[in-house]
Amino acid sequence: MLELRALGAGYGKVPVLFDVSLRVERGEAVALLGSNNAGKTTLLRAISGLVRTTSGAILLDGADITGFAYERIVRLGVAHIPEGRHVFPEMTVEDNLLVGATRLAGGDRRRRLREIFEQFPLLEQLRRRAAGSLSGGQQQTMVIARALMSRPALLLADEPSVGLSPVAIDALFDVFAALRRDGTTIVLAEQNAAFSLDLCDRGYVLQRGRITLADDGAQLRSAAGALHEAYLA
Amino acid sequence: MTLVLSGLVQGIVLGTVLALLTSGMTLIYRTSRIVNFAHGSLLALAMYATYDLHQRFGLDALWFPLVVAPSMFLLGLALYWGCIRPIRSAHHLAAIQLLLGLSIAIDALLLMRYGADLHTVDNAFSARFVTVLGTGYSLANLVAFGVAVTALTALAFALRFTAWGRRLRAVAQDELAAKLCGVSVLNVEAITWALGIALLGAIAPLLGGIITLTPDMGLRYTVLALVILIVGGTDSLVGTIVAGILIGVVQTLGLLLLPGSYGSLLPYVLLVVVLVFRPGGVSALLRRPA
Ligand SMILES: Nc1ncnc2c1ncn2[C@@H]1O[C@H](COP(=O)(O)OP(=O)(O)OP(=O)(O)O)[C@@H](O)[C@H]1O
Ligand SMILES: [Mg+2]
Repeated sequence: MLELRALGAGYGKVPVLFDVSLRVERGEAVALLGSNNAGKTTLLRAISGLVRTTSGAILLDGADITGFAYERIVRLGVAHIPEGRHVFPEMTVEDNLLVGATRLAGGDRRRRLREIFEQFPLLEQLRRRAAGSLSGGQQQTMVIARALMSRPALLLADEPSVGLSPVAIDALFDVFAALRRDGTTIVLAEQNAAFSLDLCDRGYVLQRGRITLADDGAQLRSAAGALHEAYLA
Repeated sequence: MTLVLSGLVQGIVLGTVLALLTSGMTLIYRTSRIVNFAHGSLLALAMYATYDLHQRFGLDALWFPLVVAPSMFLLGLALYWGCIRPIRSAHHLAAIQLLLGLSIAIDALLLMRYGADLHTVDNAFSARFVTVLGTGYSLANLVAFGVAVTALTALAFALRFTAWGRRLRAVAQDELAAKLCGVSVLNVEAITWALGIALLGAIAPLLGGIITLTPDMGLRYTVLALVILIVGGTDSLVGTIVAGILIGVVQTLGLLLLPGSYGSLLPYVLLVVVLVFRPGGVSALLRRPA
């Protein structure tokens, strides 16, 4: 589904990612672990075309998409839940969701909206509310639903659990678990290792812009534990 | 009393037209965070173009919006792709310098080409009057008013209910999220510039009875639009409409009731009052607390 080959990327002249290679197969959920400033956000943004790559290649379903404009990457079926709660605050929930369906044909957008409302009945109740007036958990649910409006094949999620209450985190987990069951391919960048390790089959650890570990078991858990301690320290 | 009443009507007519002129500036500011300091000069350009066409072909000015608006649309597109897009990530002063420079260049060209004399562009309705509440109004001005109301209504409707409007508001409210939803920010900005400038062309040919052509009008209308933009609150079309009407009424009544030309200072007084007491402008008042 997704393959990065020796990817380098950064902001202006400041390099952030070095020689990052990874693979994500169709239907997999893959965790991207790493402490503050490791480069998780930069990596997801590079895949989405928001950060310019400086070397290497990004392949989507085998096709080279390196250097594509972000709107083209969205059109190819990549959805990206950004870090921080990026709602359109003064637009209604419904309008927020419809913007998420930009890549769909005009007539298909309303149909998709009904499907999403079936999946998230809470959002249907809130459809006329300004998104900025929702609670944090509601906003995060809406942002996820907005990403799903495009019927993505690949979902990139950047710290979706940050700032949520334990109850909201549980609800969020259920949403992602359901997405997995439906076969959506997920790349999840989280500092909350418990959250992502419960959800994902395997993962990568990113440190200072380099992949330092790729694993699907105990090693990843202990690395995540070390990261967690480093984070708390 | 009839004096005040007719001043009020005239003020509303003027204000609605000013609101339409400013609405393009508002849209441009909302999406690209750039104040179009050439806005008034582009209005002057559209009005002089009408004057020129009228002189050359003798066609009635009523028809000119059909030509001038699309031309201004293309000019707006060219301005965006040629000048604004290349510097959009540079320091924001770069855009201000560029647009002020463009404004001065347009004003100078108009002065060279058409001289410093005052001109007006009449149309078939200019000499016809209708009487409302005992006062006669030029039918031409009411036509301009009608066009302004129609255009503003269509614009508000499109912003609120179409996919295009949703994309524009999305870019205005959160550019990163809009990009990740697949909205091309460059396309939205380009269309906003083109449309904002096309609106000048849609109304310019009809303003003969409201705005007198002078080669220095450009900067003056830029400043007036800027006042309306700020009083309206920069981020909402409704705010701009309310502020435009407010400024139009205040200025017209001021000129009628105050000695000399003190009345034309009132919009700036209002600007200062708003900046001191309500920096968010009209739209901050309209927004219901969440
Ligand atoms: N817009 C930017 N311009 C310049 N440097 C940036 C920018 N954004 C991030 N960086 C730098 O890139 C490096 C990686 O940051 P990034 O946000 O990708 O890390 P992260 O793993 O997502 O961290 P966090 O867990 O805090 O979200 C950091 O050193 C950061 O300072
Ligand atoms: Mg991050």
